[in-house]
Amino acid sequence: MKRVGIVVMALMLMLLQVGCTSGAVDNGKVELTYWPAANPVEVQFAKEVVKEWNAKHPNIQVKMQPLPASRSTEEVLLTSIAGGTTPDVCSNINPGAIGQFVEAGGLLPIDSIDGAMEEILKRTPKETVEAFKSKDGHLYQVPWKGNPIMILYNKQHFREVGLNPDKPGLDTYSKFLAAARKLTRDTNGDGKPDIWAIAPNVEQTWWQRFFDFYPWYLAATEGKTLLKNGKADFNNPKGLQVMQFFRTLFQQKIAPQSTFKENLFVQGKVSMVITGPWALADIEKQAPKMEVGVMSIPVPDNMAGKLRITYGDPKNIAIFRSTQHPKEAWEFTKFLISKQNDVKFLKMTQQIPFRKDLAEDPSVQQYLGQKPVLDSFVRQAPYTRAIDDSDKITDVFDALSLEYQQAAVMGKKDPRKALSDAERKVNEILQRSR
Amino acid sequence: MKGKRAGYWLVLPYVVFLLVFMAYPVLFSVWLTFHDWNIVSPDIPFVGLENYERLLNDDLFFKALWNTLRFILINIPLQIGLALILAVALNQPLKGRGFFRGAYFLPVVTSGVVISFLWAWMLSTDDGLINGLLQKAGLHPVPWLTSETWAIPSIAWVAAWKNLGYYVVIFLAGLQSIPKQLYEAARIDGATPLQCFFRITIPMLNPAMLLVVILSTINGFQLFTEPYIMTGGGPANSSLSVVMYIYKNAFQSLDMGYAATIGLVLALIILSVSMIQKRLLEKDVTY
Repeated sequence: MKRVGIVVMALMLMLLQVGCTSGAVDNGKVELTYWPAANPVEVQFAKEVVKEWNAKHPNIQVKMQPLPASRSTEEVLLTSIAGGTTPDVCSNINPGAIGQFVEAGGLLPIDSIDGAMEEILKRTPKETVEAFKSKDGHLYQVPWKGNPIMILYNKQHFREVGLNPDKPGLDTYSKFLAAARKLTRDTNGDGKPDIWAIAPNVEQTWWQRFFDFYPWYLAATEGKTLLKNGKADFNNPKGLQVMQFFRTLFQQKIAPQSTFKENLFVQGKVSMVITGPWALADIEKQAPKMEVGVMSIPVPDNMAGKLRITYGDPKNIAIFRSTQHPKEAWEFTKFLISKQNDVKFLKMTQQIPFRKDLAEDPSVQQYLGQKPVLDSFVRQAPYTRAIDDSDKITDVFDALSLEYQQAAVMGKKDPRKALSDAERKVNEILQRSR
Repeated sequence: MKGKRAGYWLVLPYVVFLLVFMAYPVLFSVWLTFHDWNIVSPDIPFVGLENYERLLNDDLFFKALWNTLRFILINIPLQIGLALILAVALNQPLKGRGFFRGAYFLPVVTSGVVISFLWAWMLSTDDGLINGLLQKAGLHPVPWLTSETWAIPSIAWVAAWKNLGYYVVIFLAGLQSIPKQLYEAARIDGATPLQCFFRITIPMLNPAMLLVVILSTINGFQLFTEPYIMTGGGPANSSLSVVMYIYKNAFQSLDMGYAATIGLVLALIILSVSMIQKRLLEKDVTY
């Protein structure tokens, strides 16, 4: 008797170690796993959508599980691919970072699903869809949403230094820098600034360049990305102008060398912040009284008046090849990107779905009428670029980021030399077989 | 015989746990060092000693190792010195002793991420609390986390501040096991308090000291959270630690084989340093 007890206990413990596998079919019922991004508003959106779906589809039940709040979705997905625990559907796919997933055959080609392309093309402009196709001509991601990077500013600060808060006109580098010099101020007379014009990140972390060098470079080059024909393409006069712009900001102490991790903008300690529309919800919550304006990324002086392109920070939906129910997974995805849910998504998260007829929807028009800042982001959204589709893109940004920090932030290297060093390193990285 | 078998059944769960979660990963990562794997790919080609060859020619690895050593050389003396002083102070019959003992231990149980955020704010160059105070006192601000010279010392200070309480507890336990009569005898012989400290306290603390030195060396080699959060390894990789470099290779460059190689070499370095420390420091002191 005793021995049986011990055996049972041991077996139970072993079962616990092995863990349980899910997603099995149970008397005709299908269970899907869906991973949305981990930020609170997106989780709330996912919760509501999944609840509605599950009520309508008793035979296809979706289990929602936010991506662990680690720093990067790619890491989580990679480890889950390695561990064989990928979800059926994930809606936080960064198009620049999936080259490798695709190469390894981890994702389902969306164009292989009956009727999927028609549905997607009805929703999203053809050029946008084309831009997300992989090298083999297949589409492995459902275009979902974008977050154009722009500059938000504190209207009160602009007023205080005599800038027009509604039309500041800081569209070129020299106008921007002149205004920034006024905005960085010592208000309590202790001899050092306590309000700064802007505070770009000073760290070498690769993705921080999505919020300084990269959008500036896209704006200055009218939309050229960093690579061309498998080689670095940024060592040019425009790249140099961008590097020198940021050097000026730090050298003239218009921007602080700050490692402060909280939101300086909502605290009224900086007048401008380079960010996407997701920041609006946060500002509304933390500084409800702040009057916020928005403007496009400035360009070199000789380019004034030209169309401005910026980084679009797109996030798409992918269906993993490991799914046992591709048809049901697509059905759920279709529901996720339906017009009803796109409108809901815009309103809940203030991020912008890739939908052509979004602005024509009367309820959206009314909503955007009350939110002029968000409206500007929606209008900027078509004029965006992603990052290059390369399986070494993080290393490319890493190399560029180090040189940027040396030249622009620290002033330890001539910007010209930094750019050519970055070009050399990036070409070395791209040539490495692996 | 019967009793023996029951014993095997009883240890089985732990043995299974050990095999699955300790032995297998260790053996797998050793196997990985001879292979090239990018996590997503199903094929894992054998590359022989290529990863080791690459390691020997990798300047950034040696830079990360040098950064980590610099960290240890500043962090350990600072940490042990302060912990010893605090332990001796807290061993006196002071008022509110329980409060202070708790207060010094608080950072140990606080998340390293939170502490790194807090110190990144205080040490911020142009808008930080500490530079603000320095300037008020008429001194020059210091680029604590934004210069190649200061990044590692600043991180070493933060890590020492966080772990201090843990080592205070070990030293306190050591102090309390020193027999009182040693001090009484010394006092009768006319020893000053300082002589008592250096001739009795320090030698009698040798086992605790050995433990603290080895533990903080092992901890020091595994430096990750503080530079990851406070500096991102910069500026110019000046605070990139070995473990951060492993992480970068594994999850940024998707080079698992190479990351495993660095991990294995790091483990061997830690093992040999600990052995040397044990040799040098272990003394059997009795009076």
